[in-house]
Amino acid sequence: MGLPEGAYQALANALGAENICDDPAVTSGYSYMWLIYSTHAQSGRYRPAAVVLPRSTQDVQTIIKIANRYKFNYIPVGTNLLPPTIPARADTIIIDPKRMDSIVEIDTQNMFAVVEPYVTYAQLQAEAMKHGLTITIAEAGAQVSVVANNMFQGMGGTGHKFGYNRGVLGCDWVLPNGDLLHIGSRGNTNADWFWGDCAGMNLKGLLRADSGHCGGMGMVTRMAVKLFPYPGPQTFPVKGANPNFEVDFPKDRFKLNLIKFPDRKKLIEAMYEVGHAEIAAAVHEEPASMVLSGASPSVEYFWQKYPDFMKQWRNVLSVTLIGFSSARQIAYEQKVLDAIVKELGGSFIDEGSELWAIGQDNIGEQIRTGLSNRLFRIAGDFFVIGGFGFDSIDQSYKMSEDYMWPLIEQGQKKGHFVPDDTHNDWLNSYQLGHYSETEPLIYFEHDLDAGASFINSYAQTVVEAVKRRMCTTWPLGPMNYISGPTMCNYHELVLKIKKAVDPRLTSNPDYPVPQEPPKG
Amino acid sequence: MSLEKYRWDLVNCERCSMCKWVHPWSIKSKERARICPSMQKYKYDAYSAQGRFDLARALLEGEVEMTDKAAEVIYTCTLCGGCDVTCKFTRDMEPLEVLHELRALAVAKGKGPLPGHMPAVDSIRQNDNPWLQPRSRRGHWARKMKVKDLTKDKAEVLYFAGCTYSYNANLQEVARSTLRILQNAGVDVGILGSSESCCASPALKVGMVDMFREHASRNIKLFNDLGVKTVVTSCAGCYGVLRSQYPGVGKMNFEVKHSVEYFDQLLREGKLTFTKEVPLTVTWHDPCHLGRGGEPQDIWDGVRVKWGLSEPPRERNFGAKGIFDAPRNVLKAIPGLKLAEMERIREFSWCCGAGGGVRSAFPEFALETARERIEEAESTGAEALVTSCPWCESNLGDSINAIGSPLKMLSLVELVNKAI
Amino acid sequence: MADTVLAKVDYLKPLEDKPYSQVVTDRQNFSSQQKACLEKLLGAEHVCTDPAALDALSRDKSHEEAGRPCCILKPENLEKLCALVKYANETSLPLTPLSSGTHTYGNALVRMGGAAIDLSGWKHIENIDHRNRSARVQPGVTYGQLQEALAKEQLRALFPLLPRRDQSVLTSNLEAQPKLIPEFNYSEPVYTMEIVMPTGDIFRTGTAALGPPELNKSDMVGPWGPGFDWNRLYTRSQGTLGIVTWMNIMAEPLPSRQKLFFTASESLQVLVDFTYRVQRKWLGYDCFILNRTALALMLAQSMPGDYERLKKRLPAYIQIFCIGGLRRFPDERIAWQEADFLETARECGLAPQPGISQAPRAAAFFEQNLLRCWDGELYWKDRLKGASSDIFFVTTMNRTSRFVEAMHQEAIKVSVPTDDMGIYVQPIENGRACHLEFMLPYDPVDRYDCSRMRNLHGSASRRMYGLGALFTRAYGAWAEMVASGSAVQFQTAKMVKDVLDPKNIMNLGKLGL
Repeated sequence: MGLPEGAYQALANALGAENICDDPAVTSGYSYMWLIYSTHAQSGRYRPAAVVLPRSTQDVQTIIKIANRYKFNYIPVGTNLLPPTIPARADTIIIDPKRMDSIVEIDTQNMFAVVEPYVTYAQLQAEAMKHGLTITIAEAGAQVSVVANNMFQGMGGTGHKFGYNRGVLGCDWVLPNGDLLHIGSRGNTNADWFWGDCAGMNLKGLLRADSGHCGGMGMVTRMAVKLFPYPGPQTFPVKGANPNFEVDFPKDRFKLNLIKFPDRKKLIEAMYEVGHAEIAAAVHEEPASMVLSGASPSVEYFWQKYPDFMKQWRNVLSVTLIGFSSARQIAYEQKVLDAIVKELGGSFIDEGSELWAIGQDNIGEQIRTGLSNRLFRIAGDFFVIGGFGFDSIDQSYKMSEDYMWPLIEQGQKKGHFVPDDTHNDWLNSYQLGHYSETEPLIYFEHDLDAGASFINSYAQTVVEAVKRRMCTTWPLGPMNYISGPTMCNYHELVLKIKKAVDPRLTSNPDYPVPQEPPKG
Repeated sequence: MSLEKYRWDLVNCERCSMCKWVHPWSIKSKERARICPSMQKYKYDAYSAQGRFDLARALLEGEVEMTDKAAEVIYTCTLCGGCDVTCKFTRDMEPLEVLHELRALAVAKGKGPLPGHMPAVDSIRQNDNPWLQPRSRRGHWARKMKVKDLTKDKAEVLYFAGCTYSYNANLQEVARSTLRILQNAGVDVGILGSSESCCASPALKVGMVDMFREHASRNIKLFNDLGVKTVVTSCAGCYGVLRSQYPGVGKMNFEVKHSVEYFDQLLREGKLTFTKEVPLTVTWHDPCHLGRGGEPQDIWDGVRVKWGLSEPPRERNFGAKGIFDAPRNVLKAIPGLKLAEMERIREFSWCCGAGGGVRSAFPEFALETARERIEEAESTGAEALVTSCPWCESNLGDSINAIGSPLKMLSLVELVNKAI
Repeated sequence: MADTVLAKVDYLKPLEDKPYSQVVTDRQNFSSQQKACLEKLLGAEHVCTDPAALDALSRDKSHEEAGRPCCILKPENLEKLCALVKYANETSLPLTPLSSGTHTYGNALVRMGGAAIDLSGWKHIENIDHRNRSARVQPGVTYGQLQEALAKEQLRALFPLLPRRDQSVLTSNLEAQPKLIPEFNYSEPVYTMEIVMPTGDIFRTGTAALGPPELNKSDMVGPWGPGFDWNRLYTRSQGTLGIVTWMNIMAEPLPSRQKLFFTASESLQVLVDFTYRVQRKWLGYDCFILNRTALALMLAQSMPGDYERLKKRLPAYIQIFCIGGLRRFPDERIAWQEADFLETARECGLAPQPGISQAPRAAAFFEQNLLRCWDGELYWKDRLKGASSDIFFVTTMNRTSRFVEAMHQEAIKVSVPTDDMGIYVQPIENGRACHLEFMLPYDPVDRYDCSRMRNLHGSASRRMYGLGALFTRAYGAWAEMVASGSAVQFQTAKMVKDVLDPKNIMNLGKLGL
């Protein structure tokens, strides 16, 4: 079943025939995705009935109104990385924003940029750096959409200083009923994009939560995002050639520290101390697999080095200092960090050592993510077994140790997950340590058994968290029915609001919460 | 079906979209961030390596048929290899090989080559060149030159002019100048004249694999029989296939060099010197088949095993070991000449738009792609755009004329000539 | 829908099948039967119908219309509050929640009848978590009370500018009152909240949703979700979506020592430019700009004599900036920041001083008062004439001079002396935006002055709105102004209100809903 009769023609009339296509040769490009078996195990997988290429907010409104009129589904995408944007129903179109790729404005004084959905982080940051500004970039990579990522996640390497889920200012948001909702200062036609809170009831609260709505609440067509001070060179300082790039930031303003601690508890203490001391711009526990994959030009290289590297790289905290104001800041913060490390019995990995050589590009990764997709190199598929639960640093540690690593070990025993006995996550500090989240990374082959092992473990983390009344993984789509009943039945409220703004349920209907709980 | 060999790649693509962009660390501006001309032109994901992976997987799985539209999706790609560079930074996959295999499949299914490709393909079959020119005129470009005919004489070096430099009256001077420079530098060089045959790159690029292999085998045998140590060509297209594809066809007892490499070598050896000032600001366009495509490709016939490891282990080409420094060295050695670099250079160079049969089948796409390069070149403040590939030169030159750009389109050898 | 179309503002959603006027009347009537039910639910001593007490709540310090509650309810605990809200939901009894404090902007006025719920007695600091820098407070907790407790843990509360003694910390944060420190990482200080929804159900935001505090095994500092970003949705919703019963908020390291700088200029623009540069370098803690009137109102030892003298002597604008040292190497922290701050000032041609020569008290005053409430009997803003009519909004610092000029023009139109107008510029998030506040003193017992000020407040607000001011805290008439400007925003807010408060009982008439 494709689109209802007349719908395709209505879209073609509105957008121009060149901006819609339903040919399988084209729509196949939107039909398959990593982890597809996990998210679509029940509902199946479909090629979209068509793909449309709007040019403007008005085009998006038109598409959504036509979808409501003819009753078919649509999924707005950005750079289209995550499984929820693969159609799970046959009568679904994809709204692909490739023609909406402008940086509308960069306000250098008030530190924000206005972008359309097909602008990537690397593009925006490249322009921002020319003005001494930067943005925290998604770990999914600097090649992803700024708008889509801020709708979904909005966290990144420099989140210790630049925050998590704090990036969104004014927005133009086409609601599932086709109305254009202006968020924040956009609500006053005489203002501009500078602020994200609405006058009166702050509807920005509906834009997302701890994770996004995956296209289930209409489409943001323009978004102002926060930029932050950046004291580095105007062009990202890369050296070398593919596949061995290095970064070269001025040492008096950017200082990477890789610190080994005797155990993970000491590492956690150090994160707290760094937060309380209000130093640093990036603070992460760095697992061996992640660091080595970032330095690996091939899967063979990784596996040749991994067994030995895993023994040497344990409980390593990466702390990047940035001298926003001057070199004096770096000098002071380094002194404080030295004291903390000494108090906690840590030791700095020597610059010039082999370990340093492997980990040194961490600073580049924190500022402009470019290595993270190499995680897929390790085994074919990669994800986080759970985690993303945003609470304290202690909570991240407890989630990891109490119920995530035991699940990982089960997967390893079955031979589904890559061996790893470090118990180190990518555990992150946000906003000077006010918040944290942890990502125990797992790597598995792209087959149904390993995939099932992954998705079951992922869902199980939600079950375990709920059982313990601890922080949960992002409960995407149907998983909200696991977490909702013990969390004040939030899923019911979400569903009610979804129905109110999307009465015909045309906007990626299974998100943020499906109408019915999953079977089985 | 050869695509089967790439099944691991097809199902493991995580859709990260790196194939659509210059590697993030090398992006210098919003406007010059893209690497894929096809994506830029056609917008739908299907027109990227990621989308073509999906199409290939769907074809393998029988989810879709090889239709005219599928063939269009497959052929609206310049095979520039930009996607291959950024994908491989991240993953152990072979986008460019998959793109080639898709074309072979289109041919096998009777959907390729496209009508626009057929004159060239037929001409290669009938005339040993894609330009519908008789074999007998192939050597005319050098008829007024005193040069060894290697069908009769022996020499260390064969200058392989290639079809375009041989037949295109506007570009023949490139071949003549190159040959003259080599001779003046004391290189023991000869040519094949009308016995030279097409490298068959155009056949390979449109999926006519058998035709390509037949020509390549014949050429390898001929070159081996000549006993030359080196084959030098000024054509990046010829150079690309000779370096990266011919080794997969047969054993080669000779090395292959592009003329810019040879010029660089002669400069270093003091056999070529520049004495005249050339007061010009220029920017260098890295031809895809000289640059990232000029890096030899490992011929690998193996399988993927646990965790995706290659068995036997595969050496991959990352596109950074092509010919990048040689032309820059030559340009920098010219007195008075200033080299202003574009943003997308070396392995991240933006394609001229001509490759992969695009210029013959989708001329509008070819020109649009070239226009983006012209604009990028203009933004450097250069007065001239320099390259060393007849396809790039023609396509970029046409675009310069079409948009009325003040840029001059130059072949590197013209500057070398002026400086001597 | 075009976004500039005037919104249709439904003040009250008619639920019953009867005339609208009848619905309003019914709701305003408070029957003895209702009273008896409430007394049964809460205990008679917690249901107050004393006319004097009701009268006292019928006005606040704003220009908003008077509204008298039918009773004042003081539930003792969460359980009783839930039962009360459930009852109100079942009987369509409108509820207006009150925390502690002097009500200033009309948001606590009972606009359309019903009961006021007084939570000023909920004064418990439920928890202070030094490790995670958080404090969990009930609605009645004041800044003074909280700071005293936090200081014992070497922490500090994030203070607004000289709050009233009875200012509720919870309400201040729920209303997103600007804080003195523009540090980006301090600027959204709400971690989690507990809310009694309009249905009487309990809802908790962020990781607090995992269970009541006694069972919850998180640290309840995760602010996002679950499902939507409820913290943001509820912030500034003025009680229209439920009653917040506790809030877990940020508490920051208490500096072991600090150093203050005062930078004077006759030009606001000069100080704005300087502040942009300082904030871009991510320097210091407290940072704000006052005009001479606001400063004189704070510093004057007597009114009006000392005030007038100060006002004559003081520079037009002063930037107040504070650097603090923390546990490790505090002097060195102060030293590098001071060096960078002074270097920046030199680049701007400015010379920050440790005090204000024209007001010798200033240094000590701010040294002592950045973490204190206003001590005096009369609030500092009210000292000149007994009351102050405030206009405040969010904008960007580069626009402040334009707003000030327009404000002066509006004041002159109604013969209000501009030199008695206080101005406060509070950078937010390292100068990304700012809170701009105008304080217009008036005599609350002088009818003419009141009327003149009401008119000025209205006209000036509209002028500011027209210039792009963002009235995030859309109190009283501002709510209608902003709703009229953004029809879709208003309609969507109304839709949310209908979902969360289906019987339309919570704080009726606020936000134009």
